[in-house]
Amino acid sequence: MNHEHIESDSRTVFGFFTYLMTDIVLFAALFATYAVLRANTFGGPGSDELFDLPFALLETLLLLFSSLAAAVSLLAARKGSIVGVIISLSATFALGGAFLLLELSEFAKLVAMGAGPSRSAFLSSYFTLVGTHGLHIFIGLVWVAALMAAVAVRGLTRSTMRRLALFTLFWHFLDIIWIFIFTIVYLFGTVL
Amino acid sequence: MNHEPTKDYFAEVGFWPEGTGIRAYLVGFLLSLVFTLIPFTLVEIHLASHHASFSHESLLVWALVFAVLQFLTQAAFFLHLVGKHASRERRAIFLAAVGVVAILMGGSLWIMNNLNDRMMGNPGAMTDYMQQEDAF
Repeated sequence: MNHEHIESDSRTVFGFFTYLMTDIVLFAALFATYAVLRANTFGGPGSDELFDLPFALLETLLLLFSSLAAAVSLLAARKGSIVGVIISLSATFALGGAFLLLELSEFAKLVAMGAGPSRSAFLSSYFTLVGTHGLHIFIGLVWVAALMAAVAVRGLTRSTMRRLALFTLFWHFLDIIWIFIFTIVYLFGTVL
Repeated sequence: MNHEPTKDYFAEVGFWPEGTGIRAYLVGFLLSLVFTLIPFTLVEIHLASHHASFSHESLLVWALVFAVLQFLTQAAFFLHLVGKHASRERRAIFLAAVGVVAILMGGSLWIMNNLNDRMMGNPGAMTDYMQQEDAF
């Protein structure tokens, strides 16, 4: 593994990290919008009626465990264990997928009870904020599935190792965003 | 290109400091768990007592405090942004993003709350006031 490749991969990791920082700014804008429009329920249901805290806690734990599983995949990759990588990435996928299914079921339930995104400004901003996060999760799941296939077929090459690192950064970042969704949307929502 | 990865590819590309092991991630994970469960429990106690225990304001503050704590924990243990072998460039960009976020959120809330106060509570009040003052 020559020095040029290391330099190039370093730059890629740094560049991707910078992109994640801009994604944080995107979410900040969505958070700001949600915070401003929280109380604009237009006569419809508010956060105290709609959000189930234990359910949100379950989602939080799923994502946290998923983040840990992704980290384990890096440690397995460092040891050169393809099997270890596939197993831990499968766990990452399963936990993240469970999170997404729970979230989609919550969205479906809200829409069915007439509390969809078009009901009020509060609900529009809620669906946009949480939905955008969910979309990122979905893209991450597609990514990790592709990564698992790449590692299974080509093994732990410099390319797959680099992509593992980038995915793990992405996945940790999504968990960090979720911390704030859990706090600002669900914790605040059931209290105020 | 099929290379055997050297001893620690991830350390070489500056992803994590050399010698990073499962310990850092386990500590970060457990701290995150604690920082999630504490505010959750506080809010559940508050709800169970029909909003009697803990005031709204103190709950909000504490929930935010624990969110920030967990955020810093994950930034340190998962994103490897803290410590003398951490990437200074990444930490700099991270702080820049945090600064932008603070301005975005803080500024939006400040301005919108200020506008809210000035609206005297309802949209029609301005029109009434102008009519009253014969401004039309």
